[in-house]
Amino acid sequence: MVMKFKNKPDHSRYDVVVVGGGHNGLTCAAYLAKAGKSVLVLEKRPVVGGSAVSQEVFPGFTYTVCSYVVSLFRPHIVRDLELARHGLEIIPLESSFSPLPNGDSLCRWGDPHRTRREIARFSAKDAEISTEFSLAMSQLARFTKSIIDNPAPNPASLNPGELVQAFRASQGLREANADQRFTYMKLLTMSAADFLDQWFESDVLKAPMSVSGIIGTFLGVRSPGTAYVLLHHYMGEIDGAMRAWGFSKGGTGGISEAIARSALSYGTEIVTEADVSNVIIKNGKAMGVALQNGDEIQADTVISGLDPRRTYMSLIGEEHLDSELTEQIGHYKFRGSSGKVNLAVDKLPEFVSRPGDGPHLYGDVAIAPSVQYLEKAYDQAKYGEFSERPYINMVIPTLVDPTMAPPGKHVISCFVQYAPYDIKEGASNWPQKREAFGDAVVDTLSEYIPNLKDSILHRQVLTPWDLEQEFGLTEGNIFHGELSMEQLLYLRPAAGWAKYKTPVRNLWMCASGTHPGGGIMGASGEMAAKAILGRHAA
Amino acid sequence: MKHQFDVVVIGGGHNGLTNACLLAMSGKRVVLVEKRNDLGGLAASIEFEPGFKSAGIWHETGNVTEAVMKLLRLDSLIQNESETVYALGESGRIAPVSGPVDRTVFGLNEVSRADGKGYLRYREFMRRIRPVISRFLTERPLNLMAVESEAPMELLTRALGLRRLGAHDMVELLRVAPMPVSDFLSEYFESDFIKGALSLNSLLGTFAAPRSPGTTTNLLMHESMSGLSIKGGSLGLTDALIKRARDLGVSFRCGQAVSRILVDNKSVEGVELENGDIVKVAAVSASINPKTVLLDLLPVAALTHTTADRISNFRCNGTTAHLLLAVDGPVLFEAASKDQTISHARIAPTLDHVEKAFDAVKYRGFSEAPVLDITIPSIERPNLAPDGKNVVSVMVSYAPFEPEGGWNDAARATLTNSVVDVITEFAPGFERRVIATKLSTPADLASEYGLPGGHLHHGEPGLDQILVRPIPECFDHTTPVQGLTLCGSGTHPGGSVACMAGALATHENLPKSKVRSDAA
Ligand SMILES: Cc1cc2nc3c(=O)[nH]c(=O)nc-3n(C[C@H](O)[C@H](O)[C@H](O)COP(=O)(O)OP(=O)(O)OC[C@H]3O[C@@H](n4cnc5c(N)ncnc54)[C@H](O)[C@@H]3O)c2cc1C
Ligand SMILES: Cc1cc2nc3c(=O)[nH]c(=O)nc-3n(C[C@H](O)[C@H](O)[C@H](O)COP(=O)(O)OP(=O)(O)OC[C@H]3O[C@@H](n4cnc5c(N)ncnc54)[C@H](O)[C@@H]3O)c2cc1C
Repeated sequence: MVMKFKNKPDHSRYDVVVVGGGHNGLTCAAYLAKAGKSVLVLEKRPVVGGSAVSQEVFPGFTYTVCSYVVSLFRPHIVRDLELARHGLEIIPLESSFSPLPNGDSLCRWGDPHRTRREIARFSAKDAEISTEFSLAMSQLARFTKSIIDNPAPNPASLNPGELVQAFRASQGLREANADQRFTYMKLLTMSAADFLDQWFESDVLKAPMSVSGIIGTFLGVRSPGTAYVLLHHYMGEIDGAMRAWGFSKGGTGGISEAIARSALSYGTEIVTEADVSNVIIKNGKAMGVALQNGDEIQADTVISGLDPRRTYMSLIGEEHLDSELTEQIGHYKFRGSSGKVNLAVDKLPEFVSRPGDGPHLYGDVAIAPSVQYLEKAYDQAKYGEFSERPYINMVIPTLVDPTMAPPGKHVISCFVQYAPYDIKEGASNWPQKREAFGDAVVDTLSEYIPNLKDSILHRQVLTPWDLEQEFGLTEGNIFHGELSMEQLLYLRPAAGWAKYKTPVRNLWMCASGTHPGGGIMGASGEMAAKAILGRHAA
Repeated sequence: MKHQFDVVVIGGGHNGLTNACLLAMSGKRVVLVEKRNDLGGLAASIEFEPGFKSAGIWHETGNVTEAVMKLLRLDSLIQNESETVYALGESGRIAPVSGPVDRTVFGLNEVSRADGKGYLRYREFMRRIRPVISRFLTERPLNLMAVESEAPMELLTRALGLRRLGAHDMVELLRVAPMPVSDFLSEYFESDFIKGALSLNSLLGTFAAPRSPGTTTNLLMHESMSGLSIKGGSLGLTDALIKRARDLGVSFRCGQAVSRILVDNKSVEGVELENGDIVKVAAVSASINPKTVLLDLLPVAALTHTTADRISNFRCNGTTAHLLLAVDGPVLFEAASKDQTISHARIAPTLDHVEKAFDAVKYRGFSEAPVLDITIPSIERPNLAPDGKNVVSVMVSYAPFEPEGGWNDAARATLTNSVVDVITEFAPGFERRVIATKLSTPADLASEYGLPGGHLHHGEPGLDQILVRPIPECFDHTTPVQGLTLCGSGTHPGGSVACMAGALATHENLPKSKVRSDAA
């Protein structure tokens, strides 16, 4: 059951107002309320969660509308906010299945021995090296953890505190041996496909592995810099154990709702259908927020859970910024590249390559038959078209949580790339292309699942334009801005403003457009809260 | 035991020649072995049609540094002027994209005031970061893999060097370096053909396109170092290096490839030539691709598995073909005014056009509308062609090492014709003036110059292969084999600074070399 909230705040002033009830805004609110602040969260949509949201889009069918799997949600947040007690339940994904056009398929399992046997069907050499590869990646993933869990130090700062921080952040890496460093350097700089080429020979294996580097970005598997995200697969922490991906019960909205319940339990007020138009600024200082309906709410501290462009250009406004910062925010890239197709079906998909029900349906399904297929999908998107044969990552949440559909029926979530925001015809013409895009996805899937078309009861297609219109994601970027090197760490969202602060006093940022970036992690929300509390203490 | 020579230098390109000169200057007896009949490597002149000679494949000498030229005592060849490259755009647009700043800005203003202004900011940024880039490219590389040893202090000093830029420029440099060159150029320029032409400064010869992240680094390396040039261009440099080497007593064996490096107990013993001759020496300095040196010339047992694995992963996928044309009369670009002599032009009408040309090569195809870097060396050196005729030399991006179906006659003709067609679009009547052509595909370049993959930089200059070039075991030009040094473009700092790898490498053979003190 989707949680309901009130539509009017109880008071006209609070210690803290959080704009945007995405999972980061909620996390930030919960930490601050727990620390004793009076906190109000204002969310524009009728439900909280932002892109971590579950909604009953068609009667009886609950979609995990945008995001669909979790991996990097910080385990200490689960503990600090007692999320398990508030209903959070994450079930590990057991497999990753890649059907091939020739009727064969590769399934990677939670059990490494089983995976090795599968890989060996394509390459004995790859099967053998895969263990070594996983070990190498897991070791390096540990070094990366300290980067995610700490604010990003600015290398240009002369403040000794920052230098100590930088030193600490690099600690893991300093403990690495020369071999590990070489691999790490390559991960930071190489393309996912090139990096995997150095380990493996089988395209069938490399293609589905390489996609982790491109999810949510407007880059291809051959674009340098995409190798790094491979590590995230070895960093997933469910219940503190380093493991891959998991489903949240009830869809990813279950995560947001658990955080919302936790926040409520500490006294946070959450108001939905509250569209904030701007932050009230006097003498360079945030005094509160104004809503579209004209209401004003005063606050000592205002926190934006929106993306950098919305925060700087709408909530703050150019008149409060110096020209250099305006230029920096202007350079900050969004360029959404993904869409989503959610299906309600009356039959489980039946794959040519693995007919019938089976454990391969319980994990994620990747349509990524070859590196070339993926790269060609990207090439098409570069010039303003959606990929006719896209990369698709499909999950069937009802196999884990049957309550999301009526008995015997299922929901299917398909994440799709590439769907560039800037199509040739102009982004605002996406609505005319929406169904064609949906058809391309269903047609592609049907090549592997012949019974799919006939089983579809309902279909929801979200283009990048829809993500922008409905979820407030600028240019449909699912991570509040490209996760490219020039927009990460101390540069996210702008040099000098990467520590959740803004040039407006008492106005902070807490969402995916700040370090460490997008994905359901909670890290930005938590670190923003800590930055604010630290400052208040000083 | 006394041998006739102290060192064998393998390969007679700029780097091999530089290396040989510096070794000879330090008193070593040096013999240089070159596979081809001529010296100069990729910068050697070839007669491709009776009476028509090329000026080598690389023409620019903009990236020489004074320090190296001083070391070689060739600094008198340096001139303070870089050549003017013109960008050609659709609908008859033309603008300079290099050369003296004021003239370039003037020319750009004719096309777009914003681009004129952008160019000033662009040059200004390049000037400010030059000290940092220059240090990186002209000093011994840092061992990034062993930061626990002596290196922390060095790392710190270099980091402080970066800080000398000031917080603003330092952060800006770190921000832009990993960016795709398309994004970087778009922050400075608006005209597509200008962005296209400038992007080639970072892309020529590489397996990358404007949207490839990290290509801004290559642009910064190229643009912040450029400014000087050598009298007589690359041929002038080659001739001067050869003469210098001769004067210093370097011996030459041309027309003979080294087929093996002889190793005993992890130390160099000598080299064996193709004809079976053996030259006994205790030191070998190889300017050819490190992959060839380590995997083909050394005995298998000389390297560990890991080292062999790593070097075989060194990426050398050539993407660039070279077309020489013998032409009757001048090349008249439609957009040029009467008094404009154009000896270097680029046809890269938009960034997307460049990107699309690259897309083809990823799937082992080539574009029908290739991107061209065109030089006419016979304008400055009329003796390269008979009277009234010209030599046109074109770098063609992109062409794969091995296209689907191979480089058969049909494929070669298709590529040649599409180059002629593109030029004709911008220089009407050009096709009728063509007397002869000579196409070198990446595969041809590979066999002619001994370049694995046909890669003109001796290995992809991607960020990973810039930071550690070619592999950790050989990061400072040394190798696991005692007495074997690497000194070509496949080592630090790559092909981006002329002669620099050859100069930096000598320091390993010569602990008292002056390279470091002079470069510093
Ligand atoms: C299609 C899609 C698939 C994804 N898949 C995954 C996945 O499988 N795994 C994963 O880890 N991550 C995934 N992500 C990314 C992840 O969901 C996001 O990075 C994360 O949820 C962002 O959380 P946030 O709190 O930072 O911002 P958001 O969730 O964007 O929250 C911002 C909130 O602000 C609200 N808002 C906007 N404007 C206003 C206003 N003016 N006034 C009041 N409120 C406003 C919005 O309605 C929204 O609720 C996906 C994202 C998308 C879009
Ligand atoms: C845009 C651009 C501009 C450039 N401009 C310049 C420039 O102006 N000046 C410059 O110097 N560089 C320039 N370069 C760099 C250029 O790419 C090369 O790096 C440079 O020419 C290589 O010199 P080298 O001596 O390392 O190798 P090469 O020139 O490749 O020389 C190697 C030699 O070794 C020989 N050889 C191969 N195998 C054997 C064997 N087994 N035995 C014996 N001999 C063998 C080959 O025949 C060849 O002569 C430029 C690069 C770019 C991208």
